[in-house]
Parts: sequence; structure tokens; C-alpha cells
Amino acid sequence: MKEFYIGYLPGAPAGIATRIRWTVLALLAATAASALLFAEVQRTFAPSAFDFGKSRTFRGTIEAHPYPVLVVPRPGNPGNQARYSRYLLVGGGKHGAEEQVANYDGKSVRLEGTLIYRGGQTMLELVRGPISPTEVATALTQPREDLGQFELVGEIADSKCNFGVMNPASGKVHRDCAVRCLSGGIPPAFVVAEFRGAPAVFLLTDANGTALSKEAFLEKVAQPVRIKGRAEKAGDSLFFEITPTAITPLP
Amino acid sequence: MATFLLGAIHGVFGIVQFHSFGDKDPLVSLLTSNRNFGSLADFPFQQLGLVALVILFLMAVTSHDFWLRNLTPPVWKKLHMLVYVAYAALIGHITLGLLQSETSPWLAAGTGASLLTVVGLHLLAARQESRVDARKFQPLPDGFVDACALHSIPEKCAAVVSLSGERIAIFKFDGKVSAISNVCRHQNGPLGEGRIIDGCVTCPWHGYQYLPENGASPPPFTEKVSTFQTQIRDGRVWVNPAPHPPGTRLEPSRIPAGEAAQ
Repeated sequence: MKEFYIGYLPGAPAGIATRIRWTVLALLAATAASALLFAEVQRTFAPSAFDFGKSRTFRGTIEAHPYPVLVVPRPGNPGNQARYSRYLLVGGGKHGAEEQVANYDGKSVRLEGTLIYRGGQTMLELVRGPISPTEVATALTQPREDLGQFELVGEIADSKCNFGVMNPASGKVHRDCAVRCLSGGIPPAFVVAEFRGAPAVFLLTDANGTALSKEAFLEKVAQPVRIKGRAEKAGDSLFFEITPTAITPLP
Repeated sequence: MATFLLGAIHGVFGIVQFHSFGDKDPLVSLLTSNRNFGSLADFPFQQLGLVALVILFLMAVTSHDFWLRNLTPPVWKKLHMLVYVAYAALIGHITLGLLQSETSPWLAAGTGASLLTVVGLHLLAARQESRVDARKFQPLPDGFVDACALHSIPEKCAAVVSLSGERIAIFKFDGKVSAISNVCRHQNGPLGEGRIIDGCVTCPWHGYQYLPENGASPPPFTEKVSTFQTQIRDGRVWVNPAPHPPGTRLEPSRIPAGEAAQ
């Protein structure tokens, strides 16, 4: 006769007890193995940092357009590198920093921010305290270098997550977050696997070099797209000037 | 409950990370950020996860006999059968979400293995159960049908037959035979797979008990199931498929001395 057991009986029959014991052990082992496997087989991503909770004071010049940037002279002799570091500025959470920097375009300031970076892309999340103009007026102008017309395939992402807040910061799983960030004013990034032989991240602007209207791209975020436009460079930052109709989703 | 808690941790984490601190209410963002319901590849998978989580929440908060009593067993059971909707939504959540971004075959294989296991076990169970339902019986003019051989029922156990669309559990115990409905009033558990413990039919799922002669739970419990008239003729058990109202006492058939030894 088959063994029978109900929880309120004083003890389980030997066969059922043994089976349950081994089943629990097997499930624990399977759970641990699944967790390890899941961690192991996920896509890798480039190293990044978001110094969440740690802010520092930065001094530089605000460039409010097309997207807020703090331009900071590099110390010492930069050699072949650009003479200035460019820190894209964003607000807390999923908000841009346009309003915070609106009155400081072209001015030298001191501000407090949390560093975000991945590869050569750097960003500051503005944190508590006001932006303070500094006495020394070292306004900088960074001329843009025209790199020519290109047709590139890549993905539109929000620059904050892409520069280091999220890992990964691309693909369908991250789409809603990217939509929310871009809708909140985070500058739109165009991430391409190859531009002149290397991966590249552009900031999208309209054909006049000003901030691109959100309506132009919000429905095309985090999916493969082909975009025709003009590439430009300012310091270490790349820009891609496009017309709103130039974004073509790929199947 | 554990599954809901795991899902809730995942859901809250996702809502905080992906939808909070922005220009919209997080729940509004969750429901409106992706509205490509017409596209399979772009289908809004997060809403599917929300559907699964809401169902798991309802199941978790009603996982108590208070709710079983107040909702009534049929409503409660229907609510908890939504676990299949939740599972389907979960599979959609994974295949239309994670598997669209991650390319490792291991993840697809794991999801497929889960789906195969669940579907496979249900198909196996359906095949096994359909054998019980497929068996045909010819009733005599007095309404009784030849249900099974007496010796095929182990002591304090039951044979299950499907008569007139109803499953009946025929129990043999202490030299007697009684037949009651196979369906436990608690959560539709299969009483025929239970045992006689302390003189009561004991459901294998949660241990609800019924007296075999009247189908009623011993006091102070109040659950009752239908009972069926039995007879023993020439070593075989005959059952009248006409159900008696739940709790109706029917004298158990006594096993003749000669047949009890078989």
C-alpha cells in the first residue's frame, strides 16, 4: 500500500520523509545552480561608475545649449587629449538640468555634483546647493569640428543611464526607463557600435544644433534605428545633427 | 505567498528603478510608457508582469480559510485557478521582455524547460485522469452498476469511478464498504486518493475529514459531501450513481466473511 501523510500526523512515513529530504536538497542545489547560471550567461557591459551618495565640488564654465555641460580645463599638459573635460549635466532622478543652468550659460561657476562615467563619457548629477558664479571669468568657447554626413545604425538611449547609472542601459528591458528619462529632459544619446572603427556615443540635436524635440524620438527609443545626419565634435563630445524625420526604425 | 513576495520584490525594484523619480506617476508610467500592443516584438511585457503580480497578490491575501469560507469554495477555487493566467502572463513577461534583450540560449532553454514541465505534467495528469472518466458502465434495472472488484480496493483506501459524470470514491474499511463524492469541499481535493484515518476519510491535500457512512465532517466541522448506496455481490462492489444529499447517512455494505478473507 502506498504511503500516506498529512501535515498534522505526528511523523511522516520513512519513504515520504526520505523523498522530501532529497527533493528539498535537490531544489536548493537547483536554485543555487540556476542563480549562478543566470548571473554567468547575462550580457556583459562596459565598466561604469555612478558615485551615488558621494558628491564633489567642480569648477568650470556652463555651456547651456544644446544640452547643459560643465566645461572644465584639464590640469597640466593634456598632450594629445582635449584641453577641456566636458561633463554633461543632469538633474536628480530622471530629470534634465536645463532649468538649473539656464541663468549661467557661458559663465564660470562652482557647483556640486555626483560623478557618472563610462569609458570616455562623463556626466554630473547636480545635487544640493546652488550653482555659484565664480569671480574669475574664464568663459570658454569650444568650436565644433564638422566630421561630415553619415548614415549610422544604433540605438537611442538616455545619456544618464548609458553613461553609467544602469547596467545594461539598452534594449527592450530598459526601454521604459529610457523613455521616462528622455521625457524628463535627460539628453538623448545615439549609441552606435561602430563609428570610424570604434563604438561611439553621440548626443542628438536638430539640424540647427539645438536640443532635439522629444516627440521626434520618444517612440523610437531602445530599438535598432538607422539615422542620417551630420556628425560634429566639440572637445570629447560627439553630436549628431538630424532632422526629426531622419530616424528610421529597423525591423 | 513566497512566490508573491519574490514577485513583489522584483516588481517594486523594477518600478522604482525604471519608472520612479520622473515626470509621471510611476504606475502611470508603467502602464503608458509602452503601448505597442499590436506588435509581438515590442509588446509591453511589463504590463504582463503586473497582471501576474496582481493575481499572485489576490491569491496570497486570500490564502486563509477565512476567505475560503466567506468567498465560498467555488468562488475561492475559481480565483485561485487564475494561477494559470498568472503563469501564462509570467511566461509572456519573460519571453517578450528579458529574452528580447538577452541572447544566451540558456535563458531561453530555462524558460522553455519550465513551460514544458508545467504543460507536460498537466498533460500526463489529464491522460491518467481521462482513463477513469472513459470507463463505461452498464447499470442494472435497479440502477446499480458494477464498479470494481472488492479485492482491488486496499484496506482503508478507495477505488475511484466516474459514474453519470460524477466521481465517486468507494472506501473499504473495517469489513465495510461506503461510497462518497470524490470531491473534497475544502478545495476540490481528490478524496479517493486519501485514507481512512481515525475512522474518517482523510483528504490527501489538506487533511479535511469525512465520516464514510454519511459524508459529513465530524463535529465541530460542518463540511458535507454526497453519499452513494453500495452493495457487495459475488466479490464485486456495486454502486448506485444517484447521489444522496450531502451528509445523508447510508448504512455501509458489510463484507461477507468469506470475501473479506480474499
